Amino acid sequence: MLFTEKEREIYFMETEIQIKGLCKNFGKKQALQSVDLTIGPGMFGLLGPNGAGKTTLMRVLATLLPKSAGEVRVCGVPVEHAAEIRKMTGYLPQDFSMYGNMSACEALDYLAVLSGIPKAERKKKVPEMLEKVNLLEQKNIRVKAMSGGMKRRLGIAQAIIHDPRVIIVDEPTAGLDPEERVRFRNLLCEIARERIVLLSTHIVGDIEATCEEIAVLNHGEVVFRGTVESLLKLVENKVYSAEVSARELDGLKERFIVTGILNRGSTAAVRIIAESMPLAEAKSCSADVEDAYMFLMHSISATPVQKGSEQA
Amino acid sequence: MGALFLKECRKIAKSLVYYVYLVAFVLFITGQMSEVEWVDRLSEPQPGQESYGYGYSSDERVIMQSGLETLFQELLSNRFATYPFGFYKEVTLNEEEQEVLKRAMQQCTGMEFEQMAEENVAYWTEVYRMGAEESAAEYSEAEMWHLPLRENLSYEEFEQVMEKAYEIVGSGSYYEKSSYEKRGIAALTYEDALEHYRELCEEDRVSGAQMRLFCDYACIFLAILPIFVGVSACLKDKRAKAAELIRSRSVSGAALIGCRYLANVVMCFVPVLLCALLMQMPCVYAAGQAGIKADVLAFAKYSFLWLLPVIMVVLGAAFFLTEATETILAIPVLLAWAFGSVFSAATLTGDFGWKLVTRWNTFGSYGRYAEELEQLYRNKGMYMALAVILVLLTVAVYEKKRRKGEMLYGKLRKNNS
Ligand SMILES: Nc1ncnc2c1ncn2[C@@H]1O[C@H](COP(=O)(O)OP(=O)(O)OP(=O)(O)O)[C@@H](O)[C@H]1O
Ligand SMILES: [Mg+2]
Repeated sequence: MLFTEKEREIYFMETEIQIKGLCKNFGKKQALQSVDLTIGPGMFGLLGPNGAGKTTLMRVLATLLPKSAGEVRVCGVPVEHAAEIRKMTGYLPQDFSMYGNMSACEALDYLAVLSGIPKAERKKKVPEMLEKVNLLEQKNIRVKAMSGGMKRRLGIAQAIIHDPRVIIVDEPTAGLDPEERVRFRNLLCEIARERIVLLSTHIVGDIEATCEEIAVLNHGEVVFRGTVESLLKLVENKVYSAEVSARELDGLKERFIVTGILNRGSTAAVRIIAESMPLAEAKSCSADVEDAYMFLMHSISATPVQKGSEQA
Repeated sequence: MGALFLKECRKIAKSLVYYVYLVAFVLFITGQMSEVEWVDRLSEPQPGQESYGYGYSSDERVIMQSGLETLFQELLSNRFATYPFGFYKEVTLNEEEQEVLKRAMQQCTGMEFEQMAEENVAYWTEVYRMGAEESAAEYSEAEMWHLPLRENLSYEEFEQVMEKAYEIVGSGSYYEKSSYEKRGIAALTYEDALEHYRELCEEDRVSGAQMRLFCDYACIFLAILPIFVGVSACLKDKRAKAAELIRSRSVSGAALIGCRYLANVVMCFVPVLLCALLMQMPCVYAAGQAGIKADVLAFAKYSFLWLLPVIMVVLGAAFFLTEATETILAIPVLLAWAFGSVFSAATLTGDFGWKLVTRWNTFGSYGRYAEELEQLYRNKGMYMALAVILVLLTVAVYEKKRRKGEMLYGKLRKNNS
């Protein structure tokens, strides 16, 4: 395909996903409501509760769902140009699966063919990718005989084999053991240097370890967009730890956001988020992303008191 | 493209349905293609033989004889076989209608209908009595009872009778001009037999006749068996829950569906071709023994002409219906089509029309085949074209689903939970 100089600039220089006023409806259900996001090169984390719309957003970006309204450009190319977009994106679906009777090697090779990779390159790339995700030794194992984690790793390999500029991975670390998770995070970070990696996760540790920038979705709306530090800022000086008796615990849960409970016989060590010192004996401690996330979700939806009564 | 085609072939070769297809086809076809006494078949007819068998004839006298005898038999039982729209339907006539036809017959024979009936009954009683005592084969052609036609009965008169019968019995009956003209059956004379033998050796070169018979049976199975292969191929992505993943790759719908379709056609057709080659071998050998040079390429000529278009259109329809509905709807629909086509055939030899299953359940008869060849080309060409159209539609459906992100019909993939 031939491009003019200007088009070349737009299509090939820009490494950015621009989302403006994106809406997606499933019948009456609004899965995405006027989402505005700009995602630059590097790792970008997408957080949000179940049903928030993370997968929906990713599927729109991967051209698997048409948007209802708004404007989406991936590296300058509007998502409507599906063929162009598919060439430059790698996608790992949340429920990755392949033909059960194919081996890891065959499955990867098949998907590589579907991305138009020539034979010589495939011969080189397939073992290379399997090596990267630590599947080379098990390359002949059939997909149906794979454990959940192995499947995921195969999924990651297929998402990056055609060297895409945009990598969209939906909960890639779910089901991986800690060792593999670390390995995988490092792999993504390595790849993300001059590419966009968009990752959704429920595992806060992944975000802490890898992402510069994050967005939090809730009910189809972006409720937070910024760096990890700015998210942590939200709960700066609001996290406390305390040693309380088991009887006090229920009362505490009603009044504050309790993000951690460690039972120690008759007493319990708790982690509390509160605007001011919740208990006389509480000690202030440093906040992590999980605290910030919990605080954010509570402050936008319900007060801790209401939440407590709901649970009762 | 080539790589994807080979990958698709491998995928098929690893599927269970494909092995069922292979085994079923080989079992069916070997079950139907019975052992042939090649020596009998390939021996030149000699003058003075007791019988030279039966055959179709275009002789007017023979056509008149067969036509009126059929009418006579159907009148006797008052059961008229018709095939409107290709499906069998029995017609019975009321007294008045029967009377009209009986009178017409009387004019042709100059004999009362009741008298003809009596003679006929007497003959068959005798046959059964003899059959119980001696071997029925003792009956030579000369002794067979025939409807005594008037000596000076003209073909025009006969045609008028048939016309009348056609009006009364209805369309799709034997009495249609195109039908009765082709179904004059008579005992062959030495000259006829010699001509048939010449056709067999020179036109068909033996293997042609054999392969036509092979295609006759194979065509029936190939109208049915590839349905399952095609449906399974199309549902594979969905069953493996890999449909979305595959849609997210950069391959175009045309390349993906095109390669899949071609791979299925090739994988279904190659074993058929091999089977044909194997079944042709004894025939070529026997011909060689009899000093006739057989056509060694007949297996390919006939398979490509008769069988490939059937495989193509059946797979095309299976692809289209499966891709459009994501169900196994194609199986009942295409089975109905195939069985309808098989059971609706009024004749097992020729009369191809637009039938999916074209038949030639006869060894030889090249002359008649040559006459119908043009019709056959038209039939097969049409199905090839239809197959291409169906594949293009399948591509369109696939791309549409890809754009919409969900099924063409029916509910959304997940419900709000
Ligand atoms: N195909 C669909 N048809 C109808 N509703 C859908 C469809 N896909 C998603 N939804 C709805 O859209 C909303 C967002 O779903 P989505 O899968 O994007 O959430 P998510 O953030 O990925 O959740 P999770 O963390 O559980 O993966 C949900 O309420 C879901 O029920
Ligand atoms: Mg999801």
